[in-house]
Amino acid sequence: MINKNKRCLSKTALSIALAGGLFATTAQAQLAGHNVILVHGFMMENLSQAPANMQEVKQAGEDYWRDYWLNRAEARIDWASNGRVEGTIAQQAYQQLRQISQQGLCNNYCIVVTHSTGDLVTRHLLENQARWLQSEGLQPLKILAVMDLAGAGGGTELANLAVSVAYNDSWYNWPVKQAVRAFTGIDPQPDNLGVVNDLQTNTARNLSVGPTGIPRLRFVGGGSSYGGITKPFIAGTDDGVVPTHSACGATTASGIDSCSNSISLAGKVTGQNGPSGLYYNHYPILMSEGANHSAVKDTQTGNISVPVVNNTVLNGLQIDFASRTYNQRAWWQLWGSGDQYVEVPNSNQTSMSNLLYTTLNN
Amino acid sequence: MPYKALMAIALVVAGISGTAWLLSADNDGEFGWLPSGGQPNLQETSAITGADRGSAAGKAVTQRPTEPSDNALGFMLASVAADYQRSARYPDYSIPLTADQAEAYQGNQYHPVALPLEGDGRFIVTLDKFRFTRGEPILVVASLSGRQVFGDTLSATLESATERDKADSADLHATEDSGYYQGSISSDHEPGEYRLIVEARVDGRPVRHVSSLSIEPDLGNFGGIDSPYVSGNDLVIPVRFDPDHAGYYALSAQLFNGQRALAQLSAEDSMGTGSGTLVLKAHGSVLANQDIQGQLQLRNLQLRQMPERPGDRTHYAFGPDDGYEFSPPDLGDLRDEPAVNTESEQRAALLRQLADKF
Repeated sequence: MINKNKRCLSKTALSIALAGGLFATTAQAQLAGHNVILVHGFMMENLSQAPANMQEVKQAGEDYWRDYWLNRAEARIDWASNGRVEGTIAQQAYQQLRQISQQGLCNNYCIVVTHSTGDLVTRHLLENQARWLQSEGLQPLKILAVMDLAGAGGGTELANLAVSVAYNDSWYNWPVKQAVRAFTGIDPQPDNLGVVNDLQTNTARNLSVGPTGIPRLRFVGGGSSYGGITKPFIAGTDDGVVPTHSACGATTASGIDSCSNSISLAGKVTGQNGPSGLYYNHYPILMSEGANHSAVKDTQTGNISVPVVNNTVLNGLQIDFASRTYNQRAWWQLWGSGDQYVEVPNSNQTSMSNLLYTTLNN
Repeated sequence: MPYKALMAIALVVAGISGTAWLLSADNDGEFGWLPSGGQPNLQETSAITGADRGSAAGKAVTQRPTEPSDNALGFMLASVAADYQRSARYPDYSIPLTADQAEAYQGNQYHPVALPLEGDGRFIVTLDKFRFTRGEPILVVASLSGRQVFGDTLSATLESATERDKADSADLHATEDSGYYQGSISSDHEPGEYRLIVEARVDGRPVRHVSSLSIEPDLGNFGGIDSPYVSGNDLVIPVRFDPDHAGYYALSAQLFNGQRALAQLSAEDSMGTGSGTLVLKAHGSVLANQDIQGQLQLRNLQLRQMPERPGDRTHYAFGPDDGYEFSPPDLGDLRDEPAVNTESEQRAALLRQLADKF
C-alpha cells in the first residue's frame, strides 16, 4: 500500500514535471528561490562568421537557451566563440557580470547554470570576478552553486584534433577531419579556431583550475552527436562532444567510462573505469547514457537519468542502494538473478534539465 | 491417450509461461516464498535507498538505517549538501587534499596528446609541463606507432599562436626505444601562447602533430621561507618572493609530511616591486589530529600574477622543484575546529535548507 502511494506520488510529481516542461513560458526565473544566471557553450557559427556586435552575441545567447532554460533565468552571460577565454570572452562576459552586480541580482546568492564551454568560462570568471568588481567599487556576485551541464572545463580531445587538423594537408586521415568539421562547423585553419584553442585538454586543465569554495554540480550525458562520427576520437565515454572525464570533473584527462567506479552511465551496478579523483567541491549528480551533448540542456525526453551514488553515507547512515535497484533482464538472460540497475524512476519521461528544475522548485 | 495429450499441452504452456516470466522485466529473480525482509517492489521504487537485498533477508527491519527520500535527485542534492557542509569547515586558504587532488593541483600538468593515424596508428607528443618560464628548455618526447613507415628524424617547430611567427625549431632524434623520438627546443622567446608543431614523415608524407604550450615571463625570485609559527589556530608560513613587477599575486603550495599531502594552501595580495612576502596559513582543521613525523615540506609552489583587467592573461611562476623543508613549531595548540568562513557557511546552510525538502 505504501509502495502504491509512493508510486502514485511519483506519478503525480512526474505529471507536474511534464506540465512544467509544457508551460515553460510561465516558469519562474529562479531555482529554489535563487536567481539563475545562464552561461552558454561553444557556438560553432561564430567561427565561420564572427558576430558583428554585442547585440548579435546577445541574440545568439538567447537562441541558445530558448529550448528550455531561457525563461527560467534572471540573467545570461553571453560571449562570442571566436574569442579566447583570457581575451575578448572575459571582456564580453565581464560587461554582463558588472550589470548583474549593479542590479543586485546575486545579493541573495545566485545559481549559475552552464552548458559545455560555459563551465570553463565560468571558472575563469569566478576566479577573478571579486577583484575586478571590487576595483570598480562594485559588489562581488554571491554564488550558491554552479550547475554544469555537460561541462567542458576539462577540455575535449576533439579540440586537440582540431588544432592539428588546421596544420595538416587535405590528404590526412579523412574520418578525423570529418569529426573535427562536425565539431567546429568549419575547415579549421591555424587562426580561426577561437575558443576551441582553450578547449584543448591541456590548455583547459591549466586555466583557472585552482580549488574553489563554490560547489560545482555536474550533469553528464553519454549519447551520440553528429551521427556518432566524433565518438571514436574522444577518450573514454562521451556525449559526442565532451568526454566523461571533463563532464564529471575528473582530475586527469585520462579516458573514463563513468563518473562512478561502480555504476555505468546506463545505471548498471557493476565495476567501472571511473575517475581516480575529482576536483575539489565537484559533485557529479546525474548521468544519462542516452542524452547527448545538447539533450542535457534542452527538452529531449526518452533518456534514463542515473544518480551518481558514490557516497553512500548520509547523515551518518550507511545506505546500501542495492535493495532499491530494479532487476532488468536482457532477453538472452534466461537464468540467474539479472543485472542490477540504478535510475531515477520515470526519468525517461522528462528531460534532464526539467528533472533538475522541477526537483529544485518542488 | 487424451490425458497424455492434455498433460503435454499443459507442460508446453507451463514452459512458455515460465520462460516468459523469466524474461519479464517484472521478474526480480527471487522465489516468492523466500523471505524478502519486507522489500519494496523493486520495479517501481527508487534506486537510491534501503538496505542490501541479499543481506536484508537475514536482518530485522528495525536494523536497517532510516531510508532517505524516494526522490533520487533530491537524495543526490541532500548528499551534496552534506558533503559541502563537511568541506565548508575548512577555510578557503587551507583545504585538505586526496592524493589525486594533490597531483591535479600541483599545477602545470601536461597530459600526452594523441593524434590518430590511419589504421590503429598513433602519433603522441608528451612534454614534462605545460608552462615554461622563459629560457627553460622544452624537452619534447614523441612516439609513432602503427603499420606505416616512419622517418628517422622528426622536426619540432615553435610558433607564436597569435602572430604565427616561427620562433624556433629543432630535430627530434630516434631513441634506443623503438618508435620514440626526443629533442629539446628553446623557450627563450617573448612570453605568450605557442604552438608546438612536431612533423613526421608517415609513408613518405608529412603529418603534423600540433599542441599548445605557454612561455611565461620571469616574474621574480622566490627567496625561501621565514620561520613558520603558530598564530591562533593556524600554522603560519611566510614565503618570500621578490616580484619584478607590481601587481596582484596569488600563491598556492602544497603542505606535505613526507609523501603524505596534508593540505593545499593559498594566499593572495597586492605586491610592489622589490622584496615581498606572501603568508600561507595551514589551519588547525587540516593539521590537528594528524600524525606528523619529522619535517614538513612545502612543495609545488605556484605563483600567479592575476589579470588586472578582463582580457589580460594570467602569468605564472613556479617555486624550486624541491620546495622548502622546515621543522614545524609546536603544533599542540592547533585544534580540529571548523574555520570561520562566512560565505561557505551561508552556502552550506542554503544547500542544507534546499536539501531538507527531500
